[in-house]
Amino acid sequence: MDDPPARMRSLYDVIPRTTTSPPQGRGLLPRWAKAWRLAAAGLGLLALLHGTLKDSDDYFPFGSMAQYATAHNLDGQTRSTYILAETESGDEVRVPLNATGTGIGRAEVEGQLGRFIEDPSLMQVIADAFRQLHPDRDQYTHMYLKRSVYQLRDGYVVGDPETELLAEWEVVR
Amino acid sequence: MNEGTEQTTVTSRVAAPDAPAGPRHPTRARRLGTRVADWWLPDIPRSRVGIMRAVIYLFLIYDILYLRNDVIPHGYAPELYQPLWIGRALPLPEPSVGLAQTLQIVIIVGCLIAATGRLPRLAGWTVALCYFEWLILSMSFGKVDHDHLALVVAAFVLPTIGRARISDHGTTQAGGWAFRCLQVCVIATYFGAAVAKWVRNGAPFAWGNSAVLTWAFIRRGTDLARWSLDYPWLLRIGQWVMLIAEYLSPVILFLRGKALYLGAAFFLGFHVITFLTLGIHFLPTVVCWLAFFPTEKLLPRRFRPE
Repeated sequence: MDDPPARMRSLYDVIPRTTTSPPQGRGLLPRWAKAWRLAAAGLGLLALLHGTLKDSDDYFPFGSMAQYATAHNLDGQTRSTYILAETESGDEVRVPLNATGTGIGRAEVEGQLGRFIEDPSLMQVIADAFRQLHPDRDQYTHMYLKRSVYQLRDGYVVGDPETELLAEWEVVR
Repeated sequence: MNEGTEQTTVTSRVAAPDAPAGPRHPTRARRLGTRVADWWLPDIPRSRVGIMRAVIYLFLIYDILYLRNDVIPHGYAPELYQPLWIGRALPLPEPSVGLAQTLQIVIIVGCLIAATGRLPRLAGWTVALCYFEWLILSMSFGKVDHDHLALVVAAFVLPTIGRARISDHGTTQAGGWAFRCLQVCVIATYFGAAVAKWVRNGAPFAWGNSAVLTWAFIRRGTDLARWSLDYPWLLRIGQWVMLIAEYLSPVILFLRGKALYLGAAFFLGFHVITFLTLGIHFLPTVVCWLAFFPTEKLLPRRFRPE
């Protein structure tokens, strides 16, 4: 694996930018190259601290590591959202809320749940996305945004889940 | 204190030969600054950078095709686009199928070139910018995953190293800084998660006694996990172990040898468990753990640096 001759290497390989030493030796950095690297690392850490203290993942990629950070109450409720649909052939199916099914994940629907409840026509967007991703599959005619609610008591699940209907939408073709 | 000063002066002179003439006896703050700078800028073998490049750039292709694979489907639902702060601050394009497909092609071609070590800057920066936009389009629909911090930082720091191939000899300080950035980001993913739990719940350890694993297993637990819903005390023990490990994770940055391998094994084992019980793998963080290890020692002898 000999190196190619210099003229065959790309311009970007030949022109040294941050290091002037040949690839054989120690590639020590000049002073300014060290300085900007230290400054960049410091700024990155500050940005992470900012996102964390603001408790917001809006500042991606320096947002708060907030997945699963909420301490759920041992006597509280656990909710899970889903969409049911009636299809053209009369079946009732669960709408695949994931990357390959509709492109929209369950957590994304939950992240915008207020919008869906306020404006159920947003479910049309999901029906349309499904139609474009899977034109040969059984298409949706009516959609129900639902939520299962599990009651906890001292950390144990008690009873069967209750189902709430949050919104519904007649799909337009 | 006086005994050590002379020696420190010598080392700081060696480390920064063109430094302006400072005080003859550096202050404690100055010495601490030098030590912090030295920690951030170690010398590492060029071949280690070459290996990391191959792994990261090939993994990016896998990531956009099989992990963050919702960007092209998102193009069919631009009405649900809720731009993150960066998308509101910068004039980024609206999601569309054509944009997503273009990004996909550029990322794949760029990664294939950069993985070989060729055009480390041109291909590297192209991949970094396109991959960043890909992630923004993926995460701007109401849900942000935080397993990508180290990987997106990898995309941006690898091009700053310049030339460094698997077959190269010698060392690179630019590579040392990039690898430190990856190490810090891997650890920040855990430590930041602990601090986030503190900030959100108002007390550093309130999360440990909560029903968070019950909540998670009800919502997306696999068959391997559901039995444990009958034993909430067991889940609480698991939460405490995780929370304490997250708070202690920065220790990993200063471990060496066997202790470092044990620390890594603990966190990688944690990811295996969350994958088996919740289907959450954190592979983008897992692959960046490689930045902690002297991977060049695995190379066949003829490639190995002297």
